[in-house]
Amino acid sequence: MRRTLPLILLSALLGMLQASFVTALPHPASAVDLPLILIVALVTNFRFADAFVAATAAGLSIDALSSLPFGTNTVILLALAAVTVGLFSRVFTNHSWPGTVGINVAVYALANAALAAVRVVRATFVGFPMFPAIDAAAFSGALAAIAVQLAAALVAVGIGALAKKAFSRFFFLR
Amino acid sequence: MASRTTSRALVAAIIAVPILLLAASGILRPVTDPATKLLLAAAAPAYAAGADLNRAFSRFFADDRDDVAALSAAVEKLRIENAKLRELAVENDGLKAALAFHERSSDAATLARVVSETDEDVFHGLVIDRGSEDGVKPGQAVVVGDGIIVGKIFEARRRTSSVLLLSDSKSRLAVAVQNAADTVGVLEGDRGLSTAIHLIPQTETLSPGDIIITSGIEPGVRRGLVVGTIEKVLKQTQDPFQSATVVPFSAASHPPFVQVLTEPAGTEPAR
Repeated sequence: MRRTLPLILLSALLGMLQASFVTALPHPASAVDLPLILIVALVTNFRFADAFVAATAAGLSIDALSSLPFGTNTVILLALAAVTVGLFSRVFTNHSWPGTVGINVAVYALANAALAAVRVVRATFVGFPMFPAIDAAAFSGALAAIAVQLAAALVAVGIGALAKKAFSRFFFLR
Repeated sequence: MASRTTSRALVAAIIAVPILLLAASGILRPVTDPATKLLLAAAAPAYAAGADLNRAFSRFFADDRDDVAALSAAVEKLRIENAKLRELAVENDGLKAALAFHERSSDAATLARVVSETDEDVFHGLVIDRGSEDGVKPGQAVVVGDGIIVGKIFEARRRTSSVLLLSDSKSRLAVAVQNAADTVGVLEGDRGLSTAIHLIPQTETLSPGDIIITSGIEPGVRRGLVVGTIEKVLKQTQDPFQSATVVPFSAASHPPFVQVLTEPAGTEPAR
């Protein structure tokens, strides 16, 4: 419990930052998905249960601040946590730089595909206009978004390593 | 060891689902209400910080220098003031003629903080920290600054609401052009990028710089809220109609605060 409560608070904080701070940033910085970085980090550290806890807390936090129907973000993050566990157990099974890059890119792409699917369903049922035609700019935008997400994930890995070294006596980082 | 980790994960995942269902159904309200309040209080300054960064980033890469931006802001302010004065003059004449001074009352507005924004292909909008508990209802006008309309309430939840911005493709707003003919039309958004007025008869005279205001013919949005200025008139002699692209005022981008006009002036409060 003493490890779960700080994790819930951290995840809720990241969810809040994702929904408010990150969305207001200019492109492609607004494409960063902070809760996803945390979930991937937890899974790759064999903290599978914590990944689900983080997904729930961050998802509920985003849902409270989102225009999407309540629960959408939580369900997507929970599904992604499960997918990440599957990917880490079956595909990217060793700790390496290519593995880190691969799992982050795969999960991020899946997250965006899931959100796109939700938007298509919403467009169908709520009467929003359909997607504009996909063009070259959409692909370059997607590549830029993946690059930014990867950069953020690698920065998080670096910060995590430094923090662990500096504050390893604290229970939360053990 | 591996099976223990997996079974713990399974338990966590199974517990997460009822928590989500209980939160969605409102049973956990004694817990979720204070948490939501706290989240909204923290989200507003976080959004404002992000919007500030966005503006600073835009300024850094913009061609205009600070003095040009300051002059543009001053011109914008004067234009809004001018539009209001002209509208007041017209309104004043009408009121005098009808001897109904007493009917003019000020708008009842609810001040709200922006906590998030959505810039998706299918929804360009804001999320604000006021909801149905504060009298917010779908269709109400959302304004910033000194009466610049930025959108309308799309969906009102208990504590938060979604605002559909005028630039969204689904947005429609009845507007009037402040020109001699007092041209009316419907302002439509285009994928969050721009706004335009279509189907204006060719006989109407429009020119760049004309100020667009709300026409007041739709419920929930009174006449005289400033929308923006005409940037370009698209006119072809063979077409029966012309269209005009409209540029919103800069105060309308990434606003940290907005006002929801819960009772537009001149309307009776709901009983």
